[in-house]
Amino acid sequence: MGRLAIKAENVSKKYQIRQGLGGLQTSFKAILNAPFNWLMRQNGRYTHFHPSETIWALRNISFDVEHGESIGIIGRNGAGKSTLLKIISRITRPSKGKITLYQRVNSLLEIGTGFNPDLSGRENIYLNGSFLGMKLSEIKQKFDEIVTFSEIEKFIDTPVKYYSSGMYMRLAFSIAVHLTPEILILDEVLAVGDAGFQRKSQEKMGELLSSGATIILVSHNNNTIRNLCERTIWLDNGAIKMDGTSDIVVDQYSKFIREEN
Amino acid sequence: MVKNHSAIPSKDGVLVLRPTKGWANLNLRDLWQYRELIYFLTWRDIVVRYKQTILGAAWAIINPVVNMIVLEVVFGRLANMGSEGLPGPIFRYAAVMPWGLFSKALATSGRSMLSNRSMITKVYFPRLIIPIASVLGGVVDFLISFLVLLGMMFYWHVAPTVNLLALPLIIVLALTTALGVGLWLSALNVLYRDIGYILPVLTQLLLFVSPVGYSTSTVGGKWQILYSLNPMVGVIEGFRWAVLGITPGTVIPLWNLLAISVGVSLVILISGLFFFRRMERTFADMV
Repeated sequence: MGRLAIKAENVSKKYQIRQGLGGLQTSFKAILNAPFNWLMRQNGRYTHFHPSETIWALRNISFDVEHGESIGIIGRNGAGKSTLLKIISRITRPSKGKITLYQRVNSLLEIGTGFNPDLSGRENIYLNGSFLGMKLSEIKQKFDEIVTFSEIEKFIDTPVKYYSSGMYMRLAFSIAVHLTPEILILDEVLAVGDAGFQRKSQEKMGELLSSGATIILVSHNNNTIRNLCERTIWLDNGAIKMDGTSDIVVDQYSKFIREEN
Repeated sequence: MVKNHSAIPSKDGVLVLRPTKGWANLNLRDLWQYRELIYFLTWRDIVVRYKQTILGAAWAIINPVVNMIVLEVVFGRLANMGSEGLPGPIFRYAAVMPWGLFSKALATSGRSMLSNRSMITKVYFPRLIIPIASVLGGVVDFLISFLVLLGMMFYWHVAPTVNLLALPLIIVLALTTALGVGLWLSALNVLYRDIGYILPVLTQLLLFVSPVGYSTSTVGGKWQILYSLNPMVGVIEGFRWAVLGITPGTVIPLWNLLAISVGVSLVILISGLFFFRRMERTFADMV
């Protein structure tokens, strides 16, 4: 057994889908809307109004991640993959259960977080880097490397709103892969740029892994999962359906999806 | 005892994430660790503000000057309200400056959680950084607008006094007040978008119950205590005292006005901090 990096114990997440705002607001709104509702009813177009609906995005999820492991997370849309990543990334809290993080987490739920269209590429490298938790000294030190990797040297002082979407993505991704994370959380962000850039990115991820980083990756691309992750967790309807070696889990998942269609 | 020490790293860097209940710890240590982000966000707000404008940073001067002229015409010429023996324009400009700092800080911090939504839902950082940076972003404009005041002091021969040394404290008081109100508004705005509509009305109302166009001494004696519960009263009269060396002819001494302002502004700030932290856990799910 290696050192633990993440321990999740019975994690559940509940979302309230709000129609109104509840409490005082609802009653106030009800008074205002009453005449309109009455009119609607007269026209037979009245639809029933649910004040709020509860959705369990995650139900009793438990797993351990060891230091240096790379884990893929797969599942259909709405299975709870992004919610799980958001909890591990500290963006939102679990409704039940707990997660223990033994290392520093950097997450990339979206590349280019905090990019400002009016700022130049150079300025955005600093801004985005600091959002991702890099220190100023660290960004300065890696600056040239980031620019070279992104292949946009000529446009580094141009506002990013004039970039093509490919250039924008490459710059954003380049900052991300130059993080030195202990735990890296990735949400479907590897499919960026042309085939050449994608290969380069995957190589960079491989490098990160061999340097001992722990990686959790959400992807709909089975090959990416197979190439980068030894282990895969399959989420379905908020619960863990399968947790094991990537090849086996991905095969089962593909079969499941085929049968379903 | 509130069982709520989640998400505060222990000494060995282990972090436990669990549901939160009750009042949250302020966790100012986390804020300190992210101090570079405060700097970067403030810097972004400043750099982006006048991008693609023709006049650029000159707006930081044009705005307060126009405001001063309007106030001078309405309060000075039409309503014939006094200006404590000083020329009306300089008397009013010295109030427009801290007022501008406050009202801009209120407007930007009130909207700040919404305008930074994409970051709040995609990356972790102490959310308090957002309203803090949006308040700090106004300081540069404020400093630029100082140039006009210096010009006016030169023109009307108003010599600075030693009071000027207290100016930084007055500025801190203005920022504290703005941050306190901004924290309440930004957190409420996540839940109730009504705040976006209340904000301009509130700012306009506050302008008339603050001594921007007139002096606090205009307010009737028995009302002065009630009046000074508005922390901007202390900020503005304090600012005039610091730069122009004048004390309003109020029944209550200026020091008491200032003390009330400091008290009220601290109450708003501290309650705002706790309220913000309390609401923070819902931001990513609600914004």
